[in-house]
Amino acid sequence: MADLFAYDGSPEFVDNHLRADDERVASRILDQKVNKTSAAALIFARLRDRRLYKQLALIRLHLTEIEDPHVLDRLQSLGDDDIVRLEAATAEKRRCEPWEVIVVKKHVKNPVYQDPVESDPEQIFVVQRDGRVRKMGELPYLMTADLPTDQRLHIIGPRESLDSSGREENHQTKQRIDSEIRELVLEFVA
Amino acid sequence: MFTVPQRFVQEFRDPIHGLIRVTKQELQVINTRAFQRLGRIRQLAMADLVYPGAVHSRFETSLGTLHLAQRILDRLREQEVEITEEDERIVRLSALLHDIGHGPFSHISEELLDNHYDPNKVGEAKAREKIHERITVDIVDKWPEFDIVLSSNERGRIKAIIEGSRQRDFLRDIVSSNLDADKMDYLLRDGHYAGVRYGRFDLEKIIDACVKHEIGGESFLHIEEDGVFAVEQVVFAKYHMTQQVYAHRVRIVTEAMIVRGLNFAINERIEGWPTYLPTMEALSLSTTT
Repeated sequence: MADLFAYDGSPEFVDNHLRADDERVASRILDQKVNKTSAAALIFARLRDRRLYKQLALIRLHLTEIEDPHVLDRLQSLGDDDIVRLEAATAEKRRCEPWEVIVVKKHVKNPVYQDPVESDPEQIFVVQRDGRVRKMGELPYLMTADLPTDQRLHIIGPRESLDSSGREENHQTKQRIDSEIRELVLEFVA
Repeated sequence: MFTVPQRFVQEFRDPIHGLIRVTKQELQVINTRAFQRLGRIRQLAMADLVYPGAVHSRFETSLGTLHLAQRILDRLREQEVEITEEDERIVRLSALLHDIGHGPFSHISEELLDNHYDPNKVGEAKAREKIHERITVDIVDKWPEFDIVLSSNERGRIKAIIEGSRQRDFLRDIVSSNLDADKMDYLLRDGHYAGVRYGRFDLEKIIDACVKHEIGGESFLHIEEDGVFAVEQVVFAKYHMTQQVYAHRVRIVTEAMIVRGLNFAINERIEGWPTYLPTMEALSLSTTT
């Protein structure tokens, strides 16, 4: 089993890796003939029978829940050794085996959060109608979450039919008219 | 632009996309032991303990990714983007094989791989690099079954798409980027099988809005502005799927139990596989005789 996760780039690793799937690994662990006292087997037996552990507590790691910033900082920076000690302390409280308590940290990314310092590596790029490329987070849509309302000024009027011979040509014509009217409006209010 | 049409030899019925057609070469890839194994690796591990329908596998997602990659290629061709028959074949194969390196219990095994890989032999993994993607490349490169069905050149190009490089390429973006065929497929598929409505978005509009964009000698798969709302749907679909499915309270419990169980299995030195499986050496012999 250790070889299954000890990636070393060798053909032997690939060979072993391609032998493993969900059922085969679970069956191997659950093989009670060779694993009579196996904690791994006990856990996988619980999964097989849906006798799952329960969430004993949930602590949201932000200031609205943890008022003391120092405590919050310590919780956010729990290391592996801290977690082992915390699991043991919880197990003592719950009167169970230390390995039966599991402390995990998870995070779910907020898609509308705009990091003021770092650019988002999961950024999606959009080609605007004027040809400029902008990040999703820079566009005045829902994602930016910085506008109370999306106010618009629509200038409506007759326009000659566009020649349907080319999408690109039509696009350029619309762009030209848009620019002309936009300029007119800005001059008007100036 | 004239292109030689792909010759499809088989179709798979898929609950998300309808018929998914594959070529003879793709069918040969699908029929390898390495690919068939994906049918025994569930996309969401033991999420069926929360959502009973979520028993779909990496096999289906790989086919779905191939299908959506083709739809993006078709859309770009409508815009007269030059895509050769070989480009198309490589993108389709890359989409089909992009998950081949996944270990048991899908993403759960990534945590163990990250903790147990040998940096002395393969070097330190870079930030955000996933070991299972390195394994994917190794399988494409070294697995003897693929010697028969993929040429050396094809293997090289598939590896380049999966690995990526500093030079951006829109063909790679189709298979691996922030809005790729894989993400579009798994959101729709995971939502469908979990029985929730959170993974939905306007797929047709996103594909319609796909454009190739060139900047400074590099090419990108970008989205036209009128597709922004559909992209927002994807972003929020992923967020809601994460909150409601991927990071569901009970799923976090099961994942933690699997990780702990596997770590114990490693420490307890549980090992050995059934002897009826052919070794890689035996496969090599069978491919050369």
